Amino acid sequence: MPGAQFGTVEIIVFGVVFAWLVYAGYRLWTATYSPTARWLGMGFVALAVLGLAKGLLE
Amino acid sequence: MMNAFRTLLWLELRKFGVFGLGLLLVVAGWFFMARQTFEWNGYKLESAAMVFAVTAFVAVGGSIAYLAALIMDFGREYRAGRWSLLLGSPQPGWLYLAARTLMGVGVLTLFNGGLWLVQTFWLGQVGVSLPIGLGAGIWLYLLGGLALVVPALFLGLWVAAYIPGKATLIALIIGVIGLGQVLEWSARLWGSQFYRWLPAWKLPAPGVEQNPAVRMEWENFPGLPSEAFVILSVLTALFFFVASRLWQEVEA
Repeated sequence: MPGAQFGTVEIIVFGVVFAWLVYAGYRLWTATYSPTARWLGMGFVALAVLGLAKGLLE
Repeated sequence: MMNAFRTLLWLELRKFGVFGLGLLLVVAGWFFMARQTFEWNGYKLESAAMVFAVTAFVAVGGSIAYLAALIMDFGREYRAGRWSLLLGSPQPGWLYLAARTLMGVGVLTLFNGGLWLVQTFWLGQVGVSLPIGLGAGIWLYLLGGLALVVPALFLGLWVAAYIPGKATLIALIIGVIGLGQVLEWSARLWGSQFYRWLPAWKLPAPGVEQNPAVRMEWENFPGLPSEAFVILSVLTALFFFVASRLWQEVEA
């Protein structure tokens, strides 16, 4: 839905989800010694954010 | 290297042989249970439907259980400190993973193939023949089943790459979401190219075609896009590569 209006509940729920994704990215970056795992974690979180944003905006 | 591969395969057999044997026992047990279903309920279509449904359920459940055991085994090995032992040997990570993949694919193929035979045999006894034959069965199995083993290995290594107890649950959740996102985005980016470059694969199922009720639908069916399988195999190779890198880095 282009130009969709989000109510308070939606903003809070999706804000929490996005915040959790950022937190998960931070945890995934710091809790391993493997560089591949680090960048893979970043990639997965980025893909999840992109997918969620795309779902919200269209 | 061949010798090392055989040793690793032997190690896999020692670890998952009992599980695999259990799955084969389930197949043998189900052979007789299916017979009893027909004996008690009578040789009619309802019994055949029941046998079909239970067989499908057992096949999916058994395969998922085996894949889950494969994932959890990485964590168990990691905590037992066996990885450092294996990494001390000069074998590359992909060889180790190849042994696991071969073992997993072999066990799952025996299990699902056995269930398929049981199903075909008992449904054949009551004169019900499945709409798709053995060729189509193998084809569909390769399609849906085989590509699951490498993602399972990847997921297991991905979770094991994290310090135990620190972010393992987050890693599991993000790993599952990430795999789904990779699939979705590759379908989204390549979806418009499907059916364009490569010829579509027709399902080899002459039994379906002979049925006049589905004949019209069947003629409209263009086949499955070959591009999807090319993308799936590229993704499988990619995840295999990433998993072997993870395995070699985890102890660093």
